[in-house]
Amino acid sequence: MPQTANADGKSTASPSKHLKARVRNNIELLLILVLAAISLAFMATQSFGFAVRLIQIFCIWAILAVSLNLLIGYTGLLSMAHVGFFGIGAYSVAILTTNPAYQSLSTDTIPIIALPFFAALPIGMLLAGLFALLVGSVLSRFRDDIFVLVSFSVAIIAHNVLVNWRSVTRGPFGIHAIARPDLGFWAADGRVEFAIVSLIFLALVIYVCWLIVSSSFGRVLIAIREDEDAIQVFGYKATLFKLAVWVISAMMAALAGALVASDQTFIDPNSFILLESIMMVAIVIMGGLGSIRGSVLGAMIFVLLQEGLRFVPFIPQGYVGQTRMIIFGLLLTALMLFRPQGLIGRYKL
Amino acid sequence: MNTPYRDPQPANILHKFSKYPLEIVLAIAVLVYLIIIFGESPSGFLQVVFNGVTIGSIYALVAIGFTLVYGTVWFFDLTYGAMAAMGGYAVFYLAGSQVQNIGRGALNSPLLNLFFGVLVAAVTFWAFRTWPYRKYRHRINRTLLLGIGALMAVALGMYTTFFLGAERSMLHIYLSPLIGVLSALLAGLIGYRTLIAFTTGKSGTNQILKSTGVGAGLIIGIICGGFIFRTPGANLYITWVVGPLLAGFLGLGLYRWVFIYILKGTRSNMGVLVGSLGLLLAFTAIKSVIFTPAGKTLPDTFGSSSIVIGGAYIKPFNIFVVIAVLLIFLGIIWLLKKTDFGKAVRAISDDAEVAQVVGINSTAIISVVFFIAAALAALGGVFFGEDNAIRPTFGFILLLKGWVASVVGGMGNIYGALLGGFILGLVENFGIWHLDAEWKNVICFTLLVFFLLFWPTGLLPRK
Amino acid sequence: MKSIIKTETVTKRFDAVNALDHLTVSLPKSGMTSIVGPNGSGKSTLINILSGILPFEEGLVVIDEQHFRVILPHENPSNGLTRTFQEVRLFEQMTALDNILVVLTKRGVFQSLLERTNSELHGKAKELIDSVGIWHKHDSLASDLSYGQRKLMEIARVLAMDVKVFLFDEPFAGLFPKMLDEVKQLLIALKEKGCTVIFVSHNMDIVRELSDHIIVMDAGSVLAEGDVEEVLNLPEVISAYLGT
Repeated sequence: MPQTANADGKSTASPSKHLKARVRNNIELLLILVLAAISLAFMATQSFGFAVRLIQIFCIWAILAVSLNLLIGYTGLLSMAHVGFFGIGAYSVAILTTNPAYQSLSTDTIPIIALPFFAALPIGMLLAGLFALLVGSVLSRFRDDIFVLVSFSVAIIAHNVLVNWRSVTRGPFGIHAIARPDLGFWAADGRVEFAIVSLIFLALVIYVCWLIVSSSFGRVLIAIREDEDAIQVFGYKATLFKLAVWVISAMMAALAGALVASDQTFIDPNSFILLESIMMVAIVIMGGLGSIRGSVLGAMIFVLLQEGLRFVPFIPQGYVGQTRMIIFGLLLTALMLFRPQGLIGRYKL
Repeated sequence: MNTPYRDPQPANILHKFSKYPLEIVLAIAVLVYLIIIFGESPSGFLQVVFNGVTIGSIYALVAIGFTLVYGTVWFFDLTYGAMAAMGGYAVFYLAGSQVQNIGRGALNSPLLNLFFGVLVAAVTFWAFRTWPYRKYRHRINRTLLLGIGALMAVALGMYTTFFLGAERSMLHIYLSPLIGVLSALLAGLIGYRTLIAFTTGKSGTNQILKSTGVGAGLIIGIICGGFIFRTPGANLYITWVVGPLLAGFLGLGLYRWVFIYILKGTRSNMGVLVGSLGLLLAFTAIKSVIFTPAGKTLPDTFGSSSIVIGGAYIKPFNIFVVIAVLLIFLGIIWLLKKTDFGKAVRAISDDAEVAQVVGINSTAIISVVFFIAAALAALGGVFFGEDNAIRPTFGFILLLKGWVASVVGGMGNIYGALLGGFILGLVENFGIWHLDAEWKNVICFTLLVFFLLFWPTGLLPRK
Repeated sequence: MKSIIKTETVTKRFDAVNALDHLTVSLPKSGMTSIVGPNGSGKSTLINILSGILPFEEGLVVIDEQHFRVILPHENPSNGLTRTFQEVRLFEQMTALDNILVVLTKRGVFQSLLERTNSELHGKAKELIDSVGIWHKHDSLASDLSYGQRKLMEIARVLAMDVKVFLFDEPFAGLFPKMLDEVKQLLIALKEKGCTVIFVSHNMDIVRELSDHIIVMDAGSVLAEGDVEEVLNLPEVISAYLGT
């Protein structure tokens, strides 16, 4: 959030506004805490393993949501292509770290490099960044609606490539034996350790995002969203700024992908379909545009919904995924009708 | 003197090198590629052309409807995809089991039928309140009017419930009164309007015209109803009408009661885009629940035997579709160019605010545009479904392809939509000459990116 | 009279209409120049061309001896120009303070990532918002400001720019007399600092009062220019305003 503080760092707002802002901040935090409490209580009724599972999934979606919010909430780029970078991160780590032992199991084999996780991770992020640079420079010439539809196409192309380029991705067979983070003296072999690793990465991502949005760069992003031509008149090359945040956001999504790949030690193209991107967008919008907390909240709600629906009695098991889609779809539309800034967002679309 | 002289900002990258060589080089490359394919197999070439034109006509149809909406309101309505899917599934729902004994199996629950009945009743009553009630409430006793409305609603609702629960073979009997009434209304309206168009509006003449129009409508309606009553197989074609009609009303309703409010509350067109995305998501999921995500096939209306021309196969149905699409295209063009409605649409397209000021009832006109577009989408879905298996997501894919077609042909241009549709169909099919059919989507979107980079305005200029 | 900006047969087309028709005009370097003309004469289009908002089909623009066939909006500061918008284009969902801060911060991607709001920036912003007298509203969203306050914000924003040429597009439109005075004072202060002030206006009283030089446009080209009183008494100018 752009800062409105004077020299000593104290807010210069009038007392009542100050109070309102404080109360508002507190309510947002309270909401998140209450939700966290509910989820913990819920998880406590299930097994510990289930709770860890939930936290793991939450971390991934939170990273995705927070990074996407940089694009949608702050810069005004409604990108549906986020899943593409998610996939690049996942597949990069998968290909780079996969173990030779499993290759003989299928007809499609891919080159074996067998890097450790922490070596493959930055490479994956870099690859995603480069790809983002390429795609971003093409997409940056489009505004608003057309941008959205083209980003749809990017996601579809990415998924198609993952499925069809079997010499690299093994197509529908997926990739097994993906390495877990291993520092030599300590390895995240178990679910709990990995969840901790994910939480650490989530914290890092949130911190970096906070640094970005509270800097001057963040303010420029918002100005670009508000009126791209006007901000250019004052000397800013909007294209460069958009490209920069696009690359950063893509790299974060790749990080999430890497974590997913390593956690499951197996991936296939089904996790990287267009629908996932739509869900990410839905989470960001629901949680609130231009609010890091909002994205975290949105991810929390999403995960709870996803898992919680399993326990609702009258929905047959096979229809949980569909029901989630229906609820999310209607929720998205309802948000646009009644609360376009999302739950705790700062800006309207 | 310092003279940094820069060329005009290129509309596309390669204009830097020069305007024409790019087009010529590309045209030559494409021609060479085509000649090579023809050389490899003339009948194969023809087959690809047939395939391309077949699917291209469907893309064109979808693109035309899409362009109609986008060209009028200048935002993207993603539920358009859901309408297409609705068309396909409506036909499946209404006619499927007659031929294949599957279809509504999982759903023929009285509860669901009752639900639909209530829905129809509610919609009817609401529609009644919106138009006839408001118009006549000063002349006729209000309670009486509401009573009539309620009666109509209940009647239609019961009819729907009954109809949905009816035995397959009796379908046409139950359908005929509805079709009769609908076609009577439609014919009457058309007749009235046409006659008005040819005469000046004197009050005496108006009355005569009204009654003539209504009379003609009634007669046509009775004939249609009777025809359907007596022909058991005819209901298959009727589902082709019912599907688009339903979709049309849904599309109209969505605009009238959802999109308008979203537009008011958000600052740009992104809100509506996201809102329509949410609805598309919900609709797709609902269809998944009702019809399962597996592919379904629609009954073959014209028979599945193909005719052979020059060594290539084509089904009579496909020829029918191409002709139908061309006719529809001509109809839309006539509508836009020669009617008052079309003039209003073009006025709104040029400048919505000014149109409002000039006295055009934008809401009504746009609602009708949405109706037509949704109906066209559904028809496209029906046509698509005849040849291909339908899954809940096919509507969205059709939507995207329709959009690509309109980008290729020129966004906002109906001629462009037609052209783009056929071009896309041909490019896709020629493109997979040496590749797996799975690469069709990639080819489609590569074409899109290519055009967006080098010909962002498309082949034809904006209307 | 030395000119800072010149156009040489600049033409801007919208479909079939020439908004600017082979326009050749010189804007003087010193003093206040007003650009006037009936509606549709191309005044705002000219400003838009000069500030790179709109591309133009033919001709050249000369800014400080440099010839341009294409002007990109982000080149305005390096060309020494800045401008206000007739329709007030503030960043609506940002506070007034942020609206000013955003034109004070670093323009480079990396520099702006590393820069955070400090007391210096804040102080400059406060000064600017104070100079137009709406500091008490600095925390309000731009969309919550009154029309007059928004107009003042537009001006405060350009005052933040370190340039010598200021283009004002209808800065006086729709303001109360008291506000008019404020805006007048601001423009005069700029002129006295040695900057070039060019403004478009329909308010003839203010035009008479403030301009050292006037340019009358009609149908995309210059109808007359020169000394205010002389030009405004020319028959063709009078008929352009009253005529068909």
